[in-house]
Amino acid sequence: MTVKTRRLHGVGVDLVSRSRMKMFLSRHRDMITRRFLNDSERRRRTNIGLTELAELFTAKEAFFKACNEPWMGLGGFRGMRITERRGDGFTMEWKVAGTRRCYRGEGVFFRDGDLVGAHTMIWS
Amino acid sequence: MNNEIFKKVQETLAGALGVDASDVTPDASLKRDLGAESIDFIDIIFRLEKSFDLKIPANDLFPSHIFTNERFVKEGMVTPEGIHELRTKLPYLDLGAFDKDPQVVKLADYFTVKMILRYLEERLGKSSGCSGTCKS
Repeated sequence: MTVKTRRLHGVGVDLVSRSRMKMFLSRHRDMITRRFLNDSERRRRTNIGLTELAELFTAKEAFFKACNEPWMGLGGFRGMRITERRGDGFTMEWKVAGTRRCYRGEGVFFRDGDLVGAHTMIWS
Repeated sequence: MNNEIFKKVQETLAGALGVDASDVTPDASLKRDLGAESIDFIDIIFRLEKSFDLKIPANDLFPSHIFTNERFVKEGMVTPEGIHELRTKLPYLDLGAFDKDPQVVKLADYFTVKMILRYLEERLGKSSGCSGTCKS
């Protein structure tokens, strides 16, 4: 029997304070909906909540880091999506627009008081 | 000196980054000196759009399109062609000595207050009086 071994491509961690995110959301709710969320996220959430946005943001930011790609701004964020969520665990995918690069990985959310974070790993 | 743009930028960045307006000098690096992180770059774009009543398209102020082109970035380094692209498409971004160590992850260190001022001068057709590229 052949055992398939996985190799770690990258690890990413991100952390954001809920108070910072609250300020961001209250100031730019409309722009966040139109320009940060992608189509499928917009369809699912007509009125995104603070914790949900904090989780989505940290997951995407952590995934950027795990991919070892440079920060690609709003276009990069829109290109990523959480493909499955189970409790605090999730899987993610990013097809980098305009390239053949596609990353798939997994992650876990964590919280500590005011902080919301995500830890992601990409296996090749 | 017409520094209305500069004052508005100072207020915008101080509000977004939680720093003193006096710390927002033209040469300050958004990341290294003012502590900007990813969420702050997005906040800055949205706040500038509101303050100046304009739309800042993706890739306009903080470049990302070059990162998706394998001619411009290879193995984490911006190629000479990529540097040329940056200089041509983003003339307000002062790359200084970036070409000596063109690690793509270090590009954000070159995002300065002056870069924003130059960008706004170009978009608004006015001088901020502070970017060193006065158009009178």
